[in-house]
Amino acid sequence: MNNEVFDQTAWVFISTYLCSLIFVGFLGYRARQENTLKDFYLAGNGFGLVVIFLTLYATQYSGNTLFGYSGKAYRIGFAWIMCIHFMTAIVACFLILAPRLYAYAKQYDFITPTDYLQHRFNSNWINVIATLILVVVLSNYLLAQLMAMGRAMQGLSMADPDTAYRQGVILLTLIMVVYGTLGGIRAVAWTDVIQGLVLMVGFSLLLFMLYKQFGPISLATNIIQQSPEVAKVNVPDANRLREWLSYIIIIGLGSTLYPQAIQRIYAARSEKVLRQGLALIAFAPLFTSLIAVITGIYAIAYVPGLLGTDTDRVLGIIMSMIQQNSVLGYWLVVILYAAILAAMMSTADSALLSISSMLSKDIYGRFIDANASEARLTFMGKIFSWCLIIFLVWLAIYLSDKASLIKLLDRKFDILIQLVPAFMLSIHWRGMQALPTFIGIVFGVALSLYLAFGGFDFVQNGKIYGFHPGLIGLLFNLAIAVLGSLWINKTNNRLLTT
Amino acid sequence: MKRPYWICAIYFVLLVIGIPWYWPEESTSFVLGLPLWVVIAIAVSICASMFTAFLLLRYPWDTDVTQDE
Repeated sequence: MNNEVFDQTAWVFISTYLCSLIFVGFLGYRARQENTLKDFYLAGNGFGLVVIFLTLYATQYSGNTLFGYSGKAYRIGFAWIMCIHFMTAIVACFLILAPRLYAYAKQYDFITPTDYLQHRFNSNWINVIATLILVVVLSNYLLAQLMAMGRAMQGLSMADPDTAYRQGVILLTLIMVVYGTLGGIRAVAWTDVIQGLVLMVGFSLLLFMLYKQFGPISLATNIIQQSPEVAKVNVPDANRLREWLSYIIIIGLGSTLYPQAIQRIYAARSEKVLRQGLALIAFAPLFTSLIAVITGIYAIAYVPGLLGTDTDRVLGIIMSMIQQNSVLGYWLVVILYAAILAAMMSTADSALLSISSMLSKDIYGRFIDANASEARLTFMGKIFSWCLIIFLVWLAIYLSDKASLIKLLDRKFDILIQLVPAFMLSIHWRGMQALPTFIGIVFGVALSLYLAFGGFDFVQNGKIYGFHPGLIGLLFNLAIAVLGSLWINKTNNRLLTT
Repeated sequence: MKRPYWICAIYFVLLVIGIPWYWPEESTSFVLGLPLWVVIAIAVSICASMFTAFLLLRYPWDTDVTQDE
């Protein structure tokens, strides 16, 4: 929607919405019960069903879902329907981890994801490498959200695109970090409730607007079939099908290990609340990711010819077309823009809070000042949040047109998935040992990055015959962890019997 | 989870049906304006969501972590 701006009333609506987030942050600050890590990062006794569902939803569906997924559907066509599969796979993979992790968390008062690893392995090496991986991956994720905020503002502002991008990144990040440091998880989860609701309404409206503007999707499909883009309707080729399977595995397993997702498991008030919240989330891909794909399909038909990073702008362009059509369309786009900002901010605030908890508790509290009080650790977490966000805002501005959103998404899962054995296998297998688990993680990360960035001929578009390099790393990682643990257990048993 | 094999089997079947590897590349069947292979992929996703929700709401969780100590 370049060169088009909202009128004053629309700006008042969006500004009121953004200010309400800071007000909620203040309410979260007022509602705090004690100045402790558990209160700041897990809201003391935890959240009920509505908050857990909407915070999981708003956190899981991000700027990537809206801009990245519609852009990817524009690039590869109907084959991107695979995204509803991998988003469903995330909830299925929670079945492996959530039941026992929730039980551990309640019994031992876990705050951060690596609290589980510390309890399970009692190894500083595993703890440090897991924290490093989670912080790096989450910073990457946060960076993608900040960049998406800048792109959203490019569509809103009359300023030139570069200035609008910078303004968007700085202003929206400032609002987010203010309410996040004021109210901690309460502010983040309560704003997630608003943001989740706006997001759901926004997606429903988008579907309605697409139909009203362009007619049924069958028309779009017909247009694509008679255009040079006809391959985007066809059944995907073998390489794309392997990529489909790869995405289901890597995102299904990887997203389950996002620290903000794990901390929401910790923050559920009861097992029943957690079960019901996750059950509702299982249906979210159908009314979120699917609509993003449909948007991309309409764009292939009605906005042909975009290339490169411009393809991530298809949603903005479609909205611009709808906006010009009628007063109703105009206001629906205003609400949709609020939903887009909601999607980005709700994901970014959760990531930032999780990073700050890990830096303060797992690094500062464990290795720098082991005697620090809870109040001191909470304060340091806020300091880390501000320092990190300043750096990432600079990076988001520096990288503005240098990477497509989906490429950022791809690499972080290659690294994150290397923690699968440490979390998902160890929680079910008592025989797993610390040393091979640590070596497996290091080897898995190194191999994944070497394959991804080694410049090999067999690596096409960052994938090996359609599979993410992280999955190859994970195979070796698993083999080292399992075989090494079996060998140590066998040796220990032999020593005991002799 | 105590006996997860049948659960794994059902997810595996859903995976096999959901990924359209068994369709000819030039398939031209359409339903509701969408390619048939896309409709089946969406239908499988709905089934997977319902099955996952069923497991979350009805299947007992193995949450006894005290025996691990």
